[in-house]
Amino acid sequence: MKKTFRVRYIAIHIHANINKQTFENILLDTLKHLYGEIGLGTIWLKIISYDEKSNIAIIRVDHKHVNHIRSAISLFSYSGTKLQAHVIRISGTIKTLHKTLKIKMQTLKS
Amino acid sequence: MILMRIFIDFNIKPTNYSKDSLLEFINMALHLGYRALVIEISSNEEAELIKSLSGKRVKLYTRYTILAHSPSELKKTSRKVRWTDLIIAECFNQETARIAAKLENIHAILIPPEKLSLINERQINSMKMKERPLEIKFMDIFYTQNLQNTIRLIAKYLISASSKIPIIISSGAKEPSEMRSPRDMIALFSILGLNQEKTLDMISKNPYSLIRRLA
Repeated sequence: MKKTFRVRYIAIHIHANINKQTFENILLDTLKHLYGEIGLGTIWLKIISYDEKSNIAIIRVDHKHVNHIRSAISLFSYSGTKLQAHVIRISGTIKTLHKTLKIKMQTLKS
Repeated sequence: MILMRIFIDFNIKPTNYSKDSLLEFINMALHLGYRALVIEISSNEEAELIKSLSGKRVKLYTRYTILAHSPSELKKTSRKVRWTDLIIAECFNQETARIAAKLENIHAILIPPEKLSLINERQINSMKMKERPLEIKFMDIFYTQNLQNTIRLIAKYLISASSKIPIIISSGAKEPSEMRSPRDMIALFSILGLNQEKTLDMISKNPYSLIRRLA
């Protein structure tokens, strides 16, 4: 049987030094502003991790709502804060995401 | 064979034209995955500096935007400008939009999102005849006072026009921090009902074919 609920893990790079709580507040505010409470509920959002050193956040969303997250990220400063962020990678499993992120970070360092 | 898309930011408007500031834009473009930038200029000196910085990793092109409030002003300015690769007409009324679609030396028409109602059937037909693309600046959506109304106008006029004329989405960034990742920028248009391929063409195929036509 085909699975109806599938998730995507998204790695986001934030171009500012903020902590996990601030990032969560900005993301939730923007999503709520754009799609409302019902929209936010259906996105099935969860912040998996936030690395304050590299400013990379990993979030989990429903696979149908990846574009909702992407558009919210591109309109981040609409909620009042001027913040630049972009999606680095999207993956179906967290293991692959970590793997590709590791490779990407190594190439960036070299 | 699947070819990789070449992403182009069609509208970069730096506040400072020093070499360092332009290099910051180039580095950000590389980081976000762009392969070419089209930079707004107003003089020959700026054009020469940009040409000297154009490289293999990120190609740079120049553009000049005419703020067209009247057809006579548009005609006069378009004849004068010689130092850029591209001339874009930013139209604020129906008359100038019609003339901009007919003038040979105008390469694309920029319409602010709140004026999208100018894109009616007649305008689309004249733009289609001359293969003139329509440009929308993402920063105009970003800084809009009424996001709800802007999104309604995009959904009403832009989505229907996208099947007939090529549309270009550009960032219109004044600082490197205002630049957005190409796929993030078009996500909003995918949500509004355009298919993925068409939205990707807006930042890759459509601006690229315009640049290639000039080369």
